[in-house]
Amino acid sequence: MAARKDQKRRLKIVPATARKGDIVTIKTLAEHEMEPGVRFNPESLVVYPRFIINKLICRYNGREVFVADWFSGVSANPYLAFKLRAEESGTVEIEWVDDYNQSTFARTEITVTDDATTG
Amino acid sequence: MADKKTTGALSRRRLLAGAAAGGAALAWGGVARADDYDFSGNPFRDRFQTFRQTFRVEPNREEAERIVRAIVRGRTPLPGVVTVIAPDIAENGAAVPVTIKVDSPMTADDYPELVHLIALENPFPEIAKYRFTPACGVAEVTLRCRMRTSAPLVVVAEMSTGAVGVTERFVEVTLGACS
Amino acid sequence: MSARVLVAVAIALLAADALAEPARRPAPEELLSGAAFVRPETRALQDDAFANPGLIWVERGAALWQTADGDAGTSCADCHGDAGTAMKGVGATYPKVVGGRLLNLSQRINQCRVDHMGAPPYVAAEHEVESENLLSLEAYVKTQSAGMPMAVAVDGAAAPFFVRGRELYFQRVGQMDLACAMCHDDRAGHALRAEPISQGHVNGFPAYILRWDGLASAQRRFRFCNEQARAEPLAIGHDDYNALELYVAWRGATLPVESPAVRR
Repeated sequence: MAARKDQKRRLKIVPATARKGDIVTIKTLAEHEMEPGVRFNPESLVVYPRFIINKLICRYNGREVFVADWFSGVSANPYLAFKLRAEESGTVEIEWVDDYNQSTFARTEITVTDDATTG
Repeated sequence: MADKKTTGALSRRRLLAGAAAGGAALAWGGVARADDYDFSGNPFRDRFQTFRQTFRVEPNREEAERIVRAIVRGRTPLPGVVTVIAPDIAENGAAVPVTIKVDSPMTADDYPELVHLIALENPFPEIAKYRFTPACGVAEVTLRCRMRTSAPLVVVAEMSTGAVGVTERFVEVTLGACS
Repeated sequence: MSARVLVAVAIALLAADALAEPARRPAPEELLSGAAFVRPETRALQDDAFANPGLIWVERGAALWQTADGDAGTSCADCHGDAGTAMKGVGATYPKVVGGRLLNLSQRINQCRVDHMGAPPYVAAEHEVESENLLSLEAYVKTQSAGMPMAVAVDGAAAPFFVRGRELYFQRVGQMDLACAMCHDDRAGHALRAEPISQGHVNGFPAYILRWDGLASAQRRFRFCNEQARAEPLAIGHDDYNALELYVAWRGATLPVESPAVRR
C-alpha cells in the first residue's frame, strides 16, 4: 500500500478536443485499497475498519455535472468511466472524497470547437 | 452538515477506540444518525452501510431484495430503459467489470436522477449510486465492482419524472483454482 | 544381469526421468502467455492503456526514476539517462548472474541503490508484503521491454542456478505432493475447479493480481502456489526462488514481455 500522499489519480477525456454537442468519455482511475470493512485478521478476529473513497464528483467549469456515491462493493483501485456532453472549452475536475472527508483532485482541459468555426 | 458529520465521526472514533481496546471492535459498529444521510424516506436507513458499520459480514438475500423493493416503492418499472452489461462468469469476484446504460432523453425534465447498482448476495448489497444531470449527454457508467458470490446484479434507475426502470443480470462468481 | 545391476539401472532410469523435461515442456510454437488463460474482459483490461491498474505502479516508477535518493544525491536518470533507451531489453534478461550471484530485477535495482546511489535498499514496510516503490521501479523498467521476447541466459555462470531451478520445478512439495510440472506442464489448459491452469510463465510479471488488488512479483506468486500445495513458502528473494524464476523465465523464452499484465 503506497503512502496516502503518493496514491495516484488518473483522469483522461476521450477525445480531449470535440465539437460542441458531441459526447465525450471521461475516464477516471484512483489508487486506493478500498478496505471494505468486512475483512478480518484471522488470528485476532478484529475487523479491519472500512476505509473507502465514498464519493466522486465531476465538475465541468465549476458546475457539478455528475456525482457517484460509492460503498464497499466498489473494487479496489476504483475505475469509473462516464459520459459528458461537450458544451464549452474549460476544465473538467474530478474530486474523490474518502471516509475521512479528505479530498483529492484531478483536473484536465477540454477543448470544444463550435460548428461555426473551422476545425 | 459537514461539521456535524465530522463531530459524529470523532465521537464514534473515540467509542470505537475504547471498544477496540476491550477487543469488542466487532460489536460497536456505530449507528448511523438520521440527520447524517439523505434517505429519501427509505425505511432501511440503518441497513445501508455506514462508515463504522462492520458487523454485518454475511449476505442476506431477503434483505437485499427488500432494499430493491424499497427503492422501487411499488412503482411499475418501465421496460427496456436500463441495460446492464456484465460478464457471464467473472474472472475474480474482486473486480467484476460492469457497464450501466440508461435510455433517456437527458433533458431538464427527463433524466435519470439516481441510478442504483445492487448485488443481491453481497454483505452490503448497495454497490454504488450514480447521480446524472442532463449535462452528461448520455447516461452511461463503466465500473469494476466486488461480488461475494454468484448473484444477480440489479440496476434501478430513478428518473426525474418519478418513473423507474429496473433490470437484472446474473453473474457467476466461481471459486478459483487455488483458494 | 545380476539383480544388483538391474536395481542400479532402474534407479538410474528413475533419476533420469526426474530431470527429463524436454518431452514435457511446451514446444516453442505451443507457448502460451498467461493472457491466453484469462477471460476476454481481463485481457481487455490488460490492453487498456488507461484502465490497466498496473500502470499506476509504472507511473510511480517513472517518477521514482527521476527522483534523487541516497548519499550520492543522484537519481536513476542521472546515471542511466532516459529509461526508454537505457533499459530497453534489460527487463527481458532477468534473472541474471551479477557478480557471481543470481539476482532478479528487483534485487538488481536494490543493489544499484546500495552500490551507486548510497541509498538503502527498498524493503517492505510492516503493512506491506512487498515494497511498493521497488515494485513500481521494477514494473517501470520491465515496461521498457514490453513486447520484446523473454531472453534469459542459462549458460556460463548461470548454468548451476539453471540446474537448481529445473530441479525445483520438478520437485514434489507440500502436503499435496505437487510439483510445478504436474500442473503447468502436464495439465495446462485443464480446469482446476473453475479456472483453467495456465502454462505458468512469468513474462507478465510484475502483474496486477486481481485477488490481491495490487501489483505482485513472480516470487510472491510462487509463494502463493507453494501455500496452495500446502508447502512451506520461502521468503521473497530466496536463492531457490531466484533459481526457479530463472528456469521458468527460460521455459517461457520468446514469449513477449507483457508487464504489467492483469492476472487472477
